[in-house]
Amino acid sequence: MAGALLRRIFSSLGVLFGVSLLIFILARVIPGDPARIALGPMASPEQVEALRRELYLDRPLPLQYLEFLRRLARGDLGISTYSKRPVVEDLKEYLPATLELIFFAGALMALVGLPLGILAAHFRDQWPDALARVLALLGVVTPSFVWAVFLMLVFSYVLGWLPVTGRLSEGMSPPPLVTGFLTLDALLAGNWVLLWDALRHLVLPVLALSLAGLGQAARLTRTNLLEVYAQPYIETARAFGLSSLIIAVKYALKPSLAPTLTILGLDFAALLGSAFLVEAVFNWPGLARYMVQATLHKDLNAIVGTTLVVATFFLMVNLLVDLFVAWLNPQLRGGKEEV
Amino acid sequence: MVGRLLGTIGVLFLGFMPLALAQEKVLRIDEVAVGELDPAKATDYADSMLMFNVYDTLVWPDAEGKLRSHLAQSWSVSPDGRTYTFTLRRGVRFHDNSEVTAEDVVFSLERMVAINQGYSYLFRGWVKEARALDRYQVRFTLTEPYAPFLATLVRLPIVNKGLVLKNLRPGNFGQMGDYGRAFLSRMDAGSGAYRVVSHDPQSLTVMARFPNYFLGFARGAPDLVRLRYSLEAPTVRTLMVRQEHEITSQWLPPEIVRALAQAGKDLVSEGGSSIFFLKLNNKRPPTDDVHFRRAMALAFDYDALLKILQVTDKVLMGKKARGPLPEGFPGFDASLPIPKKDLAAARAELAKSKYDPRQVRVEIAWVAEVPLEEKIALLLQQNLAEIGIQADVVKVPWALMTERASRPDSTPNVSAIYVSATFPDPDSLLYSMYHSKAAGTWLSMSWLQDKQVDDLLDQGRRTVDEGRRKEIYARLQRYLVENQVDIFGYEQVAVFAKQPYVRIPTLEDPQKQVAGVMAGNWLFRLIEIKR
Repeated sequence: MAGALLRRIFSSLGVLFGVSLLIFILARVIPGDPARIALGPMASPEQVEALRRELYLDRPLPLQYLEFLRRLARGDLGISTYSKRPVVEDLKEYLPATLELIFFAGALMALVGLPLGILAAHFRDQWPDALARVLALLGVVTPSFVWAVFLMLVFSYVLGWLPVTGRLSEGMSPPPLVTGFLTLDALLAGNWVLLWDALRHLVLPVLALSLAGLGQAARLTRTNLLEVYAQPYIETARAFGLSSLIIAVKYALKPSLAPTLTILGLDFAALLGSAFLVEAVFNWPGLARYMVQATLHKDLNAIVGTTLVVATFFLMVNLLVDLFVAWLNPQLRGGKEEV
Repeated sequence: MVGRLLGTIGVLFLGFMPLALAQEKVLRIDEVAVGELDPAKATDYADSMLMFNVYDTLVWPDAEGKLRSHLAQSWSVSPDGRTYTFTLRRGVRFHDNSEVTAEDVVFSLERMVAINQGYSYLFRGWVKEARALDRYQVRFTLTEPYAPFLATLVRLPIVNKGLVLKNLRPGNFGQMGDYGRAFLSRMDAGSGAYRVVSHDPQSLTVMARFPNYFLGFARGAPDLVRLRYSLEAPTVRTLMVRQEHEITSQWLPPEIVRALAQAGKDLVSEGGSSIFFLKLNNKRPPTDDVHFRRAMALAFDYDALLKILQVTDKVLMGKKARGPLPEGFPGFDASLPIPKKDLAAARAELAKSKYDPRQVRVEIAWVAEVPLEEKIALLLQQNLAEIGIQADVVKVPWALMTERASRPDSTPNVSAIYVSATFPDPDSLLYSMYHSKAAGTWLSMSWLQDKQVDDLLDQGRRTVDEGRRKEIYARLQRYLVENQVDIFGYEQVAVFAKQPYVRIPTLEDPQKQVAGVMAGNWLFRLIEIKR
């Protein structure tokens, strides 16, 4: 198991290197001069040329990449031409906001999606199943930004219950920085007012972001659980007179969770990159929005920096999910099969 | 125990309540990202809003576009137009309470030129030397006479030298390290009416009133300003209805502006610094022929264009343009005719052209990021068809448009673009668009390269006498209009929705509107909040 894990970590490093090379080249072949875009429409050709030199864009591509690797080794991702600040500083500022958002969304996907699927499978073809399936389908087919606008319309515009933008209300100072998660930092500081305010700001964006994954989780759980219910050993358990609850929780759920968790893990990791529309609607100062703006402004350093972060996150989540699935499935333990 | 429980409930209940802002007047306004705080790198509308509220400049234009004293109490210009000497007001304070001195002015110029971004091109190559004569006197020596110099100074915000030097980081500028770039991208070093409390270039800048500001504040001026960036249209609408936002940006879709007007919000507009052009490539067939160009301009339906720009019965996002300068802009020639559609005259001009309209096609390009331009391009295509000219409408991303503009053969026959003035002087718009030396940029997609035009533009730069300059620019504008170098689409009018309890004198009173400076009307200290 340990050997397989090490092999997996090394292969992940290889993937990261490949991603960095690929995105480095791709970002440079998109049409448009990054220096011209960064300096604005009135910049003189001389200014554009000077910035090109500063960004090493006047050098051959292999030399540019070597320079990038040299800086990366020092933890320097260069200056963002979009925000005009070091990319590392931008990442430090925006990443925690998005991570907090997607961790809450991921939790909701799992904590509501899985029970909804279990419920649907248990009451197969009865009204709870129909209701759960409709809700799940609605979640899957509706894009997150539509949910965002709809939820804002209902809970902020019409009812006025929940805040519209940002992570905290106006005039509220963030808690002392520990994790960058406002909820966690407020909790650590024992500031309940701040915690409550941060939670209220999370409700709408988290809901908008999680509904698709939640629906997906419910549908997959239901399907997989029904497949397991059809297995002979479940029939045997029933013949022994075990209750439905024991059969579901003790014998059926665990084997049915592996494929669901794999997909859920991928959905969760993908949120880091796809949260930008929700972040835009709720003016959430996060990484996804930064990443899209950087791409639109052809900000080479920020594009490479954010892509590396997303790729690392993706690989980490995949690794964790695979470990968890291996724990669920005894056949995958002990290095019999690679995690 | 019960007491603690009640206390907790009380604290939680407070979380539901809007914060106690009753005493504090807060102005919430939005713009598109990013908000560039460093004045040496600023270029855009949001950057300018920050620049004019956080920093001060030596001079500032009035409603007529004339330059008045600001940080400079007075100034003199040498007879040869090469030396400008300014005497600073005494006792003006930076936000750290140190006094604004001539050394700070020299440092600000040197820093801007060294960083070579933002508006540095206005000074680089022109200013030979900047020298502090004493604590309050500063002298600029120019390489050659340059009449617009005084106007360009509205783009030279004065930064606090001492504070910047204390916050240098390693960088490419020798002893100056990074010249304070990292510091000034996060915090300010200005003397303006507002100081920066916090700044996130992607989502929000918070500014607080600087009580020692030398020009004071209007009654009801905001204590705190929250400049939000890149809010989505539905978000702005919700915030406006909930009265959690005071003024919208100018970039809202017309239907949202209309909905806000119906919901009881006021609409205010700002014009006088931008023109929408249909740039005609004077070097590429068939638009290299003056009669062909005139035929196109005479076929264009200017009234239909205004209907496209209509927001409500009374509010439009533009008005007819007479030429390349907006009305009220310094040097504007009010005697130029207002263009109108005249198909008979268009056909007569086409008959004089060396091109047979059946044998040629015209390429009309619009910027992919500005959907409104597609409607205008399609209108022109339809109008040209009425006189037998066939046209293709193409969508071009902005990044590609700037590349296509680099050569006359790749520049489209017609390019739909907006051009805004950087400083209040006709040179700001005309030189970059029409001088041969400025060819190859998106601004000069007309590819004029006309010696007579070059001479007039050069004369305009060398002539210090205001009266003579006005004559030169009037002659130039007439020449450009008569030769139909471009189709002068409309003067852009930016429309903003605001809460009825907010008053913006610089936009609501035409006598107080500043012309010719992008975002020059957004002086928060003059805005009144009556709530």
